[in-house]
Amino acid sequence: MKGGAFFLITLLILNGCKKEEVPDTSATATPYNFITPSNLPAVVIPQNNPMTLEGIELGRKLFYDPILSGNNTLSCGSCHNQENGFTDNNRQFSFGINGEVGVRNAMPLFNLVYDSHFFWDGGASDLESQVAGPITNPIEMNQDIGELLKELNAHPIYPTLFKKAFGSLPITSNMILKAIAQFERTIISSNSKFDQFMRNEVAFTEAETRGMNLYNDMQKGDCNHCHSLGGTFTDYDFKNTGLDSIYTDQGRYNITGLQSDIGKFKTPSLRNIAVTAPYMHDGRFTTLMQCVEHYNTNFHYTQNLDPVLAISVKGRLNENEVADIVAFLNTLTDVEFLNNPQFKKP
Amino acid sequence: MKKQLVYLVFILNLMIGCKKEEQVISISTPSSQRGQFSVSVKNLSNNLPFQLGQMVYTNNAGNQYRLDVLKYYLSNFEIFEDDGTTHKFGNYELVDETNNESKSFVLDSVPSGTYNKIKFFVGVDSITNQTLNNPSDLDLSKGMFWTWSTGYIFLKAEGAFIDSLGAEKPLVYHLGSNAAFSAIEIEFPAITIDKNIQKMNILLDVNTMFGLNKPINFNEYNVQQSFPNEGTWIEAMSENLPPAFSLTFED
Repeated sequence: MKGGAFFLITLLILNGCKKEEVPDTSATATPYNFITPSNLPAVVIPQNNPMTLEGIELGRKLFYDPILSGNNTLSCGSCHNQENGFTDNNRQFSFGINGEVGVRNAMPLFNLVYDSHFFWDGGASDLESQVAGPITNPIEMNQDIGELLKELNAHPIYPTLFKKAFGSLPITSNMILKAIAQFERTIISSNSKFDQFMRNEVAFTEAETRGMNLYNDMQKGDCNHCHSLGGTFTDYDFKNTGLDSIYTDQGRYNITGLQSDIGKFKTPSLRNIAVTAPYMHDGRFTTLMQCVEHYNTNFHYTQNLDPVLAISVKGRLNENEVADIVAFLNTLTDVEFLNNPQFKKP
Repeated sequence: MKKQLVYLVFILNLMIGCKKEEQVISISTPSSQRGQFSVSVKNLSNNLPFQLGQMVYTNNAGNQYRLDVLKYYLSNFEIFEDDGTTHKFGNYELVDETNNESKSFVLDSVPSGTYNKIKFFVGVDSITNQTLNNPSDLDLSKGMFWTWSTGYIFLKAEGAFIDSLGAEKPLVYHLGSNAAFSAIEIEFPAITIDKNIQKMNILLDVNTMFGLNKPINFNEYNVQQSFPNEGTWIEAMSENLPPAFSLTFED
């Protein structure tokens, strides 16, 4: 009897504890050990979203699940295809669930762990917040978050997976953002022919070598100025590259309201550039040749034109030199990344 | 005896375990040893409850209007003791006129003392506002966020107004951005808290929110999304909000 009373008290205390329980991911989920490739910079994982094996696996499942869209027809993976460096199958603009067409080219997804602004105009200030964009945009996945939470909380599998990853239920919207961001941070590309060349594992052709030299030559390609050679191949800045005299899509200006940001767009990484056509924020160029020719000759002297480009001599590259730079750009394709089974639909 | 001792040790361990957790929690969910302010928010017009869906209101610019949606965040509450000591609260409260539950909340764990001032903000502070990765009332299912430029919509007032030609036009006010984060400071006759629950009413006069001395004309500003080029309107709203709030207490 006395033992029974003790047992009861014990139970009461246990219950008391349970009610006060703070969701503690570390107790249930397995921390993910992020191994930085030697040729990429050190990573900083945001403190408000520590990576775990369970969180990453859940994020990967969500990334490929059309449940995220309003009518359950499109997933993130629909417009971000791994074989194309997670861009949209060479489409200029992607289709939404009701067939609407966007106005900007789907961005590649890799090495996102290094970035601090997302979308072509940098409107999303962290990767978690970016995730909410395409899901809720009426011309993209057009999902009502309240509806999505109802669907996920009533799902036969998801509640268990969210509980494992985040330690508590019901499923809330920030758990969705966190999980997908965790998965996306694992998507790393660092083993292109260029990287192998740098490690003396493979040789460059003569054209590739000439192309790399032109890429770095300030009097010639000068690509290196913004697409810094090696590492992430971007300066993570926003630049006006003289695509137009007058910009209809004003880019970064839409976010900051600064006149000096009119016509500025994010500098994309040039890794995997050969498989992510078409090019520029609006996918106006279909070939790398067109891109190089733009910087060589076709750029416009517009307000806010990048100062480096503004003083570059038009026509400074001849036809052969343009072809050499394209040959070098083709060495930035990372076949291992494009086929990595860890990034595929689970 | 031995068995009971084992149980006692077991229970003691559990209790210590509990205590540790409680200490962590007490930042946001405090103990009963302290008092609290039980807050009710009331949206008013001329001291009467504001009615959604009624085209019966006239702002101080003379525009007839109605609202169908009125939602806003109150956050960063801080109370002041008469000796200048302050206490801050972690609440982010979304007040939705259609949801009575949302209009009541608690500022918990108020230390005993004499208080004479409260400060809070309409909106979400710049640190919290730089990500949508937030819990509770900041959940995206509340529909108070932008994705094209990360941030929360601090205040939504949607409805219609009668324009200068007599036609009904949509009125859409989505106020946000760090420039719109508006401090409300209200002093009041000293109130003593001693482990008791003190009822407090926060009152918002909707007409005053649209401007008292420098009223906003809906013919000029009617569909506003707080884009960077809407600085003039954002500034006007931020100036109008503080005088629109007042406070009453109930026994």
